[in-house]
Amino acid sequence: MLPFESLFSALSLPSLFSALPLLGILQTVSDLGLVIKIMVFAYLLYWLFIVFREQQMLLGLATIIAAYFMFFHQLSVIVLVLLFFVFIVMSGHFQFIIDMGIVPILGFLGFRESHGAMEEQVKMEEIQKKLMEGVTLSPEETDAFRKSQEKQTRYEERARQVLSSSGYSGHR
Amino acid sequence: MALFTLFGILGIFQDAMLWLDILKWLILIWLAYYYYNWSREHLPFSPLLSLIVGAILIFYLVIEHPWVGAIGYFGWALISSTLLLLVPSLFRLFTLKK
Repeated sequence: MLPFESLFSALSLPSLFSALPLLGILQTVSDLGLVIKIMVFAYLLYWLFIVFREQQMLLGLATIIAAYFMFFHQLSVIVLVLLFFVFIVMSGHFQFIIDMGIVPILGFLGFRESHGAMEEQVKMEEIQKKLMEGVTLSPEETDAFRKSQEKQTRYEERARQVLSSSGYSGHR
Repeated sequence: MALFTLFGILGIFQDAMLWLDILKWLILIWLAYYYYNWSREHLPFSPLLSLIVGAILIFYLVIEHPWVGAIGYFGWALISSTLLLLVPSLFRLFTLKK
């Protein structure tokens, strides 16, 4: 027997394309699925215990119903519990982390909130300054100015309608 | 003399491995305690049930798949603590101007 024969046989073609690693992953996923199911069921029992602490009979019945749902509608129950956990139990915490942690980091990386209305106002002020100085506007600037004026007119018209229909005549 | 020096240097690495091994066992023991405590807190009405669920969690998340259990625990600690809120503050420390 050659000294490296066993090594060569270990690296042969069939063993390279073996399904064993895949089976291992599937086994892991299956194990974790069981763990997730058990944890979700424990959460359900925990909430039922909190709700029906004083009514043993109702706790028993609700446990049986929860077990039925866990047996026959696993996926739906897991998804519902996860949604409840993320959006109701942890929502405030996640919102805080996003607002105070992730958004500032994104800001440092260059992703900032856009202030469209403010930028437009600055642009309009520049255009008006040019008009006052008598500088000729480019076609784009004229267009932007006209659109802004139309928007302003529309807004004022709408505001007048709302105020007159509600009987509010404004402060003198 | 040179040999003694060599063994001394190797000894450092051996010690390091020993301490890493001890740290690994400490982390595994902490994980087992954490998952058992989770089941105890969530199933307080039945000691037997909390023991069973704790045993299942420890078997799968500490003995069979310790990496999954460790990532789950440390990920949860990262999310539920305020460590993530500290990151932008640390960024800000390095972008301060006079």
